Amino acid sequence: MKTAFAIVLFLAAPALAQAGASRPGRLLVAPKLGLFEPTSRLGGAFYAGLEVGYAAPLLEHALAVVLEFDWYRPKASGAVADPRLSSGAQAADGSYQLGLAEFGVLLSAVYRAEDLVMPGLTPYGGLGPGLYSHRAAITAFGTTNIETETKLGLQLLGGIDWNLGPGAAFAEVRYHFARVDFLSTGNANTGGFLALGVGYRLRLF
Amino acid sequence: MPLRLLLAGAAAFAMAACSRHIDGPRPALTTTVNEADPLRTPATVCNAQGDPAQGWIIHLIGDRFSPLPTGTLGKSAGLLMPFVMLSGPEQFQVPDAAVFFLDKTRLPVFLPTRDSSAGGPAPRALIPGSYDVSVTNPNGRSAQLAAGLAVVPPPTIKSVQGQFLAAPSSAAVCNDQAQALVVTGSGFRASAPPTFSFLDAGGSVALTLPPAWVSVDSATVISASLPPGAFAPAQASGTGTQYTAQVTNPEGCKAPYGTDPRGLGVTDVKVFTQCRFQPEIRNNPDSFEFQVTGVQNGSATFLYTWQNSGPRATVDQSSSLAGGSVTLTIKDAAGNLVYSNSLGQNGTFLTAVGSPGAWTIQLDFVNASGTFNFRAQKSG
Repeated sequence: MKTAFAIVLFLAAPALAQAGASRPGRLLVAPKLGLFEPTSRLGGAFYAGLEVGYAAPLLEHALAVVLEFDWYRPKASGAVADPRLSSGAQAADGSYQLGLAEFGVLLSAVYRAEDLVMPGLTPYGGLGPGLYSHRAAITAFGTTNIETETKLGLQLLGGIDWNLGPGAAFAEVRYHFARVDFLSTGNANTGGFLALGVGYRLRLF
Repeated sequence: MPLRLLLAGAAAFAMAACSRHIDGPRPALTTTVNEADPLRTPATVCNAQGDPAQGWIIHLIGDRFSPLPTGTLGKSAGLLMPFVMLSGPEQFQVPDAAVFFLDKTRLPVFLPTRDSSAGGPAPRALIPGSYDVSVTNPNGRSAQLAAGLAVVPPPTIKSVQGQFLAAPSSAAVCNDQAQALVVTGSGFRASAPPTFSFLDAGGSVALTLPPAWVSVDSATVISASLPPGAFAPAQASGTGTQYTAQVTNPEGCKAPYGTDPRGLGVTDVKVFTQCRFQPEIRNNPDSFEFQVTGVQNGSATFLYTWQNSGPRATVDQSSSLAGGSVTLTIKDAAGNLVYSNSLGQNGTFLTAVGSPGAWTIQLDFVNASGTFNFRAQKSG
């Protein structure tokens, strides 16, 4: 559904952008893809996101309020060594696989320095809270247990827009401070840098 | 307006945060098995003895037992085992360290006993009776098995008595005769007949009686029927080869064990090659008479309990010792030796002063030949 919405916006963008050609549009819409590299023992994973923002009148529309939805599912694996996993000559296989799916709803205040370096190039940075829905599925000993929780976190971002066509291509990095406290994970920060996050940002209306 | 939106959004964020939830498989518990008695289900376990460190091991049989690796994003992963709870005459949660895992259908569990310290420093004797067993996975889902475990006390032995009158003592087995042994004690079960064995001086099993020779008459009496030649010739002797009678219940507990009493007539018996002579006894309060005639190279031990209400006794000895030796010893009610003499010495003798009550009279024949008489009487 999200993908279909993004495609419709992308196709309609030239007409919409033309309607407000005299000034940049105030509504920001940006699908994005990237590589999520956690700072915890979790492995790297692809992520997908969609942001919808509004360039507020404050600071001559340099300040935007952005709502973003992110999804990623990093994994980890290992083995438990415990004397209780053997009895007599028999021993159990202590290996496990952990999949930690996270869906983030991120609310950010973003400052955009239009044409700061050169015309058409806009660096930006921001921060804000995030509501993270975590779902840890751990498979071990022939069974799977699933833990879920939703917690508040923080996130910082920085990136740069490069005007291209009706919108701008961009690259950005983001750091999430999103702790989980599952039995299976322990109390850990599952956030990390969104390295190589790229996308295309439309400015509409 | 944008500020209000921002505040409203932040409030919605905070309200959306919720507590954690865990879901996973619900275990199934079908039966329990005592590793020492795997054919009897559900398990019966003894509340004593077992492994000195860990007690007795039982297996919980079922499906979807699900230990949970913990702290997998930390430095080293831990493990949370299913919780095992016993509910019956008392509540007992098996210590986490005593619950093991082999696969999702089998949980070995060590149960502590009064003689062990499984999972903790304190030995524990579970109250005998029937227990419900429950298993709870770390995800909170559980299964219960009603009457899934029976806890029983260990057997004890109070006496082992031969029933063959020609035997040289009540704690003797005459290997040339068919005879019965009667064991009194406690903790015997007809539904789970024990194994009856004889241990040699080194503690090794010299003979285990076939089940057909043993019957449980009641919770306190076991009888065993021994045919002639039950022991191999080398396992018996003319002077009697000493063995310890041992009873082992199917779940593994045995008697004697540890501080259980031992001694001839208690758990020790002597196995004689043959029993050819039988003394005549008159055992009355304050008067005891013994006579045996025509003994040829006889070796045996005779042990009697005699009631003497006095502090001393006179002993009249009249025998003809043709060979070997016969020693008469008498102990008072406190177990103190008050008299020791060869029956080859004829005459009237006086014991030392002792405690009135149940005195013990013992005669040891070693390759003795002859005719032997004596009488003991109360003396003021």
